[in-house]
Amino acid sequence: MSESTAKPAFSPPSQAILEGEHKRYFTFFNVILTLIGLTFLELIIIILPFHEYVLLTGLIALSIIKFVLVIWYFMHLRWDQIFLTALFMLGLILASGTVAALLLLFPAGESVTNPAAPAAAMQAGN
Amino acid sequence: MSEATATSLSPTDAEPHHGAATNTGIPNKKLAMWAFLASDCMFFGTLISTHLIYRRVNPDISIDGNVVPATTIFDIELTSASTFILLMSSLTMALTVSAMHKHNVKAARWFLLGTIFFGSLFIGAQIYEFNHFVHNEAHPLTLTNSIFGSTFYVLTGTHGVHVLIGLIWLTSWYFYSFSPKFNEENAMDIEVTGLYWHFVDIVWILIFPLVYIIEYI
Repeated sequence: MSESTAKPAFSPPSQAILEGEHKRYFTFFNVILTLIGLTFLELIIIILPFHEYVLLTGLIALSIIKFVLVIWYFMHLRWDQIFLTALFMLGLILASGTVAALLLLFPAGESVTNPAAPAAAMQAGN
Repeated sequence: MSEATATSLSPTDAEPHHGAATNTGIPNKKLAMWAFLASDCMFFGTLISTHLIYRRVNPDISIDGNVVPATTIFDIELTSASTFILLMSSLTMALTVSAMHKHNVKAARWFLLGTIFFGSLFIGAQIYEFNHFVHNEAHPLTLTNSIFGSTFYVLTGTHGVHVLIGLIWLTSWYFYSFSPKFNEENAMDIEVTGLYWHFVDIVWILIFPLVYIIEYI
């Protein structure tokens, strides 16, 4: 009795869990290989002779694919309740909205640095 | 209502935590972690957009009056290696959670150790990178000598702190796994820690192209 309480309390898992995890094991390896491949692609994009907007779009698209792969497989959203996906998407939509709003509020050229600000003076090397 | 939810979430797809005894059928710890991660998205969203806005408003990085291209500051080889290291840590974390679901504590401990190892390598590389930038003789980049430095260090530093917190959390689990109190109920706790760790990885997945690679285009 004392011997059994000294050991961690882990019961044998059900056959369904074992089979499910066995399948996931291979899925995880496929996902990591895809992620590594996409990261290499991101690095190759730098040297491609396309217009910067095309490259930027490609870069963002690759990041989104990698992002989705991690949350869908590694973070188990594929197998978890839809409510968790909705909850995370809510935060993600609010975050994306904030990013989009900020980028639109401060377009290049229109947001001129205040020359009287200490940081601007430092930038100018005064 | 809750009974119906629990029935509909029977473990047909071998998910060990479906049908938890809560109103949502989701363990409260897991729900709380997802809610936290959703809020952390907004936190990192503002930091990333601040960096991007300042890069667009001030295209020239001026350090002590000299214009310095970002490509001469960054070490893309090191950062790329860090990215691969963090991706590998995500794989070992996923395997840790999988091993815990199978109640295979020994395997879980090895994968946990692998995650700690890769996480430590990432933090080590980031410390080396920051040190290299600050002590660069030609054009030192500090938190206060340029707007680029301020936004860059705040963003990547905040991410680094997240990694460090994750490392401390994972290390605590590693040592706790040897305790007699460690049992199968802790599988959910480790899964929650895993969610946090994967989140740190997805934030880096966004930082790497938007802060580093974008400078080379």
